[in-house]
Amino acid sequence: MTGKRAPRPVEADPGTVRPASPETATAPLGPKPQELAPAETQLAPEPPVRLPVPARGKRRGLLRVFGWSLALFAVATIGFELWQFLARAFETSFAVGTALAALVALATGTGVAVILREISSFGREMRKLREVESLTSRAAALIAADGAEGGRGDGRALALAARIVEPYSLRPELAGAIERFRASANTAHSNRQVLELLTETVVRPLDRQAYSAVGRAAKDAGVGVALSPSGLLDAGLVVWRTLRLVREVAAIYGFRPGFFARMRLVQRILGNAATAGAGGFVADAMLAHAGARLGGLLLSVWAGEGMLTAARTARMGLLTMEACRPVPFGEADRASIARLTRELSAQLGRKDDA
Amino acid sequence: MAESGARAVLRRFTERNTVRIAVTGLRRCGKTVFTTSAVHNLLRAGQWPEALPFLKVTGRGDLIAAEVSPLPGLPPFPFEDSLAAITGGEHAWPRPTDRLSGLRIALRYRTRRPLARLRGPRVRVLNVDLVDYPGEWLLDLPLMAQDFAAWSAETLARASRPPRAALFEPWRAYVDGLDAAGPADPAVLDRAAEMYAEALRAAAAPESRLFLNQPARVVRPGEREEGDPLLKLSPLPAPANGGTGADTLHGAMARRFEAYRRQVVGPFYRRHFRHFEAQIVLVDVLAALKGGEESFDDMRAAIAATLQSFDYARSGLRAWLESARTRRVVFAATKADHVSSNQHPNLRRLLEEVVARESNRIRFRGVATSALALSSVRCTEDVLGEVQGQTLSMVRGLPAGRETETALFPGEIPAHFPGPQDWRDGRFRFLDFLPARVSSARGLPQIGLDLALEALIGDRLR
Repeated sequence: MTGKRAPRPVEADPGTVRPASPETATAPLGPKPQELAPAETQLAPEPPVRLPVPARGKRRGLLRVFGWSLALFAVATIGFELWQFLARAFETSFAVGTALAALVALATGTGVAVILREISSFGREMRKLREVESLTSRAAALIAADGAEGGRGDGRALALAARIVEPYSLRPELAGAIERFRASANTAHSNRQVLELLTETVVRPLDRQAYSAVGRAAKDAGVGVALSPSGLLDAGLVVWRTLRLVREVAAIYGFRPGFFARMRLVQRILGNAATAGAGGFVADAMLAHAGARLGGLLLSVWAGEGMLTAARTARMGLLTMEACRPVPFGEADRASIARLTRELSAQLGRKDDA
Repeated sequence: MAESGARAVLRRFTERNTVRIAVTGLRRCGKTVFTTSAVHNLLRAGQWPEALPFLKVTGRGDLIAAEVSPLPGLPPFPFEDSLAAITGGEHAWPRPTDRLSGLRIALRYRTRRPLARLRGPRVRVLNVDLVDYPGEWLLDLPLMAQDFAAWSAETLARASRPPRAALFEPWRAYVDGLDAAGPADPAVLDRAAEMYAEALRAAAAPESRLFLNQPARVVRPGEREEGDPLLKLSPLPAPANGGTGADTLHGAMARRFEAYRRQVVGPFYRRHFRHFEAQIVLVDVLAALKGGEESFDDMRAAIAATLQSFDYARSGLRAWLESARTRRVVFAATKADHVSSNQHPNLRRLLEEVVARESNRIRFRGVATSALALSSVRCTEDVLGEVQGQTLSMVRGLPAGRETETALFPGEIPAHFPGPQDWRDGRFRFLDFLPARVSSARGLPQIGLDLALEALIGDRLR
């Protein structure tokens, strides 16, 4: 205590000071503040990546050759068949041949165009996804740095919040919430408090939208599977509905992935589920299973299957929420099936009141 | 004036939706401003939740509206006047409180409790009762547990030690010359009381920065007249031969002391500090830091003395019937806006150390306590300034007695209780900032007021 030289109290002309604005980080008050230029302290040290992408094992060379040759074989077969098909059509009649050839050309052309477009936007979307992840991990780092008893506010959280809010500012339904956040948060709040405010005002309404999207998708998939006559149709239905859900949830949090980006997102979500959230996943699945068994006893096997499917779809939606939410879930409000049920019943209650 | 047990029991069942908050704090620590800001922000928070974002009921948008009404049996709290003083053109804080007043604020809110519908309406009302009074009066509460001889001995000892010795010198010389066992002469008693009162007023003056000044009504009589015979008190040294008969000087003064205790302190204590559910203890840590070591120690002693007279341990059937259980005590370091916000964690830690013993005692009795940095009305803003090549976090505002704003780095608030070697000249420079440019349209700007209210009444607004 005595060895430390703290700065002496001092008064300055208010004309010479600048506001402790959200964008500037304050050098921490210590014995030698001059060692840190404010520009250098602006951002939190890059914390460890929150979603570890599972390291992909090296594919065996033989396997790779096999894969490629199989793909080439498929393409060649299709091309060969197509060629023969068109030749036969031309033999039959020139008009039929031309029409079919035009159709094939159109299909191929548009298919290639779609793929090219997806590829061209893929890089941008992946950048966006990485950005969302970096925002999330930075928010997590700020919250962790503050600890349970609340640290000091130094403007980093305000700056981060400004970046998180920016893409939402174009959405009219969030205008009120954003205005409320800006009116509530100020330099007197600690980093943790700023992010709590952001969660309460802006992210919570998004969560509610996402939960109801997940609920809808789960219901669709569940009912669809219970009613569908064939297993193949089941699978297609569930995959289609789940992918649509992933897009919906990502869009709610301000991120619109194309097909490939969505695939990557799904891949990451599953990778994440396999490592981090496995416990919760298993617990939820067991819960859903128990419900399904009960349902099977009471109602029918189909209804039970439907419930199980609904739970799986919902689980996928919840994982998407975790991946896309700009502020990480706290321990208390982590997305889970139980939480989803509570949210949905609360929303039902609110509808009753209105 | 005293509230009878029967009435308290009745209240238990008729006013179940009422919370009494005991706002305690020594003089000039911001009780009136706390009450004003809390009431005003609660009135506005129904429409503008950003006024109190961390009060959960407003944060989740469930506070519908609030309404102020007077408290039965008390003069109304001058809410409008205080608010006008803060937001008006004269840039001033409300005048020091010199009498007792109170108000009730009714909060209309939606409950989110599970199964709430089965147990009543979803929209409910919670009444919050707040009482304002001169902070000095709290210092009378310890008298409830002392007799005249003990109080005299303690006060005499304190008056002969450094910060007070000079102020109390003439009075001490006079009472030392008296024969306490001698015959009771009213003129002598009055003379001693008069000299004591004079010294006490000097000690209570703001520039002396001394807190433990008893009996408090001598300094701030409130509704009593200056010359009230009940207030003519003075500690007396114990008689040498142990003779404390009723007709001695000592005995006569002891009777006056007894009357003061019974007629002045008792009713105040019973009525306002026996039945409360939540308590906020406001501590002006900065003022004590500014006053130096002696002032700091005196403030600690005053807070300790005050809090020791609260009975947190009441339990059993009677306490249940009277709803006398205290659930929460919040300690708040006030005027947090006088230092930049990155110093608030240290301010809070310092406060925790100042009240550590009392807080521990209260927790032992099963009452939850918390501590925070508070500014009921924030009248500065955080700025950064370059001073001799260092970037310092400063506060910018209008100090008392000046025409123009200034930016101030008041020194670094220590995270720990300063030891004797840490008090050196020029370590701190605090200025009293005035509420200039404060708008009340969407609630008064505040730091930690919402957290304090959440800690006090949050659990009743679920």
